[in-house]
Amino acid sequence: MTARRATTAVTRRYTAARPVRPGRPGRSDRVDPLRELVPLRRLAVPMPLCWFALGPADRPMVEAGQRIGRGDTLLERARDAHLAEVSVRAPVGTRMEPVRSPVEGAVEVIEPGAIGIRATGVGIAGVVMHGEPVHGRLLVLADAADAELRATAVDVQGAGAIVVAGAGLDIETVTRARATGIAGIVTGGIAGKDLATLAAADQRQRASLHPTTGFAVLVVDGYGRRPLPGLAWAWLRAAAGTDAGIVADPPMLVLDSEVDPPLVTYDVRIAAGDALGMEGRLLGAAGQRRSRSGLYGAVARVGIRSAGSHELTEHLVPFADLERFE
Amino acid sequence: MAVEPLAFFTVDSGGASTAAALIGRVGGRFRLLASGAVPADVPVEMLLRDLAARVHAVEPELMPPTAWEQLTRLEGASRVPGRIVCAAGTPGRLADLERAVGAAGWEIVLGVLPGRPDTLALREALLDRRLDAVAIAAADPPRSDEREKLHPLAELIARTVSRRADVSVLLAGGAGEHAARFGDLHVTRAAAPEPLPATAETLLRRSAEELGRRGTQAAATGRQVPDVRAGFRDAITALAVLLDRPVEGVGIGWNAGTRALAGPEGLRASLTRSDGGLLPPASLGGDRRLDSVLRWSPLRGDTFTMRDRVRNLMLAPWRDASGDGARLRLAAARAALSRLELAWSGGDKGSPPGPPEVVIASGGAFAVAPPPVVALALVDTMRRPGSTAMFLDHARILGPIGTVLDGADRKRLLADLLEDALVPLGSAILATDLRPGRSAGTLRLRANGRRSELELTPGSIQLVDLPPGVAGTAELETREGVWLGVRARRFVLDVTGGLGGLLVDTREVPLRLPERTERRREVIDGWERPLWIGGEQ
Repeated sequence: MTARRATTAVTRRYTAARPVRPGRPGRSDRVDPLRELVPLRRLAVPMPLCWFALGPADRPMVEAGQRIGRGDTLLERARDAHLAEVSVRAPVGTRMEPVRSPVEGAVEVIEPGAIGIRATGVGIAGVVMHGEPVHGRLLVLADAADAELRATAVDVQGAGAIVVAGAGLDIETVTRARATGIAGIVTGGIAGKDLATLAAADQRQRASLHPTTGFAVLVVDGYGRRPLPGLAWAWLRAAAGTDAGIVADPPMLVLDSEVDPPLVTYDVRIAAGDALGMEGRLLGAAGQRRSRSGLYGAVARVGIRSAGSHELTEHLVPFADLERFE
Repeated sequence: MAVEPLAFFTVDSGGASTAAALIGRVGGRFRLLASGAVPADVPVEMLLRDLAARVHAVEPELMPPTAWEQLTRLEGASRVPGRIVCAAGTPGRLADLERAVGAAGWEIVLGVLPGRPDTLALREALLDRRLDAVAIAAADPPRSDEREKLHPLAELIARTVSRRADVSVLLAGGAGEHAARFGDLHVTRAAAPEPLPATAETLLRRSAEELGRRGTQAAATGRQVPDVRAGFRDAITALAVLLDRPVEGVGIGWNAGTRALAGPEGLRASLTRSDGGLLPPASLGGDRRLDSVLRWSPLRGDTFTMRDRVRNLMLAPWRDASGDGARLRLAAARAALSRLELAWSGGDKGSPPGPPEVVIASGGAFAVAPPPVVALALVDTMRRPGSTAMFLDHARILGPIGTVLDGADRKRLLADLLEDALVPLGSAILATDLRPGRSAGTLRLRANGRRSELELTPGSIQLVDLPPGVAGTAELETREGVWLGVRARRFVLDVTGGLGGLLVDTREVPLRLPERTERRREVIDGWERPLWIGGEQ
């Protein structure tokens, strides 16, 4: 083996294949069996089942089978739930606050503790959601999937909207977004401490029993600075300007059913390590390689195209650090 | 030489990863031919095909290309711990109930007594969509004051959950008299809880385990498969009988941790804990659980960034297994071992007999660290003065083999596969109460026809080279005496080699880490670094 071949990254000339949909890799069909070794992540979920919790004193305002639209009242939540003697000692509330549906769909099931809504459209799955379910028009403020959203980019023009923040944003930007009337934020990543600060502020507001304005943060990829996956970014850009809703269970952004599925031109995404967020083609397997920790693991050859170039640079990435989507 | 018909796969479907091994009958005995692991989302067939291909590449006659598709699979799965609310009329009864249910692998989301918590909080917990079961306990028969206190509580619980067909009910002891309140729900009646250690095999615990096993499915196939943690416990028991000596097994998975101690007479103690997993679900929210992991981490970084790294590990535990990620994962494994040790020790309820002569570690948590570091993690957390030989179930086959119903078949398989399946980590001598001085003591090792000598240093851990396959005799001699379960000035111990050699540990029991973060990192790094063989320093 020559020294050149032994290096981690080599540059080869590939011509770009035609655009492909997720799951149909085109020129990389010959390595299809290897794609099965890459962990699959269900990012775009058609017609997701969304759950809305019912507290002891809450009242459902819908029936099973009922069709609902965005903004329809699903339930009334008791801000001041307490026990009272009403023939039997039961939980009641006097300050009832409507919880409106952030999605269109149909009531599939009403359980004692939750209402299940089968939403129309596609859900972009996240990993954690903070806040209350909200809906609004989707506004893409970030310049790119790996760009961070600055506070200066947020103003009152976003009032009522769900903004797309890119790879992350700081607590100052979140606070400014909330203050300017933004309904929700979709971000690739966020610092855990900023979510904790947000939660503490929300708790203080709830304790005051003042009327609350819905606000939600949906984290798509994880904690810290994490670029939005290319597939998620493509969906969000395709849905820009349309109505969308953020739900908590499961944590998800539900897009309008009229949004066309986007095209993507890559097979796999690097989900960990120094090359986090890069996307490219699965070229093949590189066998078992020794990692920096001294252990051996199966490694893949991934071709990544540099911005503005047709050339692919080959990266060796552990299979376990890759992900593919459907 | 072709594989005889008695060839099969073992498959351990965990929460984060699936491990499989190809076992073949070669030369009249079962041999481990190939093993591997993939993230849980990867179809298991890809792994099985890869194992068969590896064997075919080396010995084509042994495994024809498509023969693998017809092979039997010995499969086990670990279930996600169910969530349960526990209720009783008195604090003592509740504590006994929680100890038994917790040791059966359930995640206890709320402990309920009359008036605590308030009715609204209780109802909210009972209506939570993620709740799987409710357990209520009373003495059998209940005392009149206990019955009086439990009556309204049981009525409230029954009224709230009776509309939930998805919730199971466990009524222990005298609480069984409330069975009729729960209508058509699935009700299991069990024995009353007893004031025994969590490790005790009580009737209540067995009922709770059986209730939890309902619906154990392999993530990959969705089929009902045996519980691999119960299989691991049974395999440890069979090994103790086979080896005619005490054997302790500890398995750390993503969802839960299991520990079992068995002797030639059978199982002595065991438990499974939801908080014994690598990163229990509660880790995402609370900083306290995250910080308990970071206490064991030698990595430098600001606290908030490190907490986020641990949270990301919780979301995708198979990622970032190289470099720093491996060390963080090992820190999480140490924290899990510590939690399991706390439950094992039992507080005021006493602790199970020990120490064992053999400790076997298993589980995906140990897959990302070199064997010597795994040995150190065991010694750091399972601290029993004495001498112990340590092994790693590297292919995670003990769990699936333990699910074999016929005890004789199970023993035969284990007897054949012992050498292939268990990687020798080495031996550890844990000696405490060593007085500091000019010469605290000496260890003389005789192995392989050679002699070596080591000065004992109080409060340290020292590594002596003792390769796999080499047995030796270690002689400890001190002026003031040393504690190895008994106090004496001179001990002679049999030790066996391994990839981690012989660890001579004179640190205190329990292990106390420095409080200052930077000093703590230095100390842990100092212990780990020499053992992280092959890694970049």
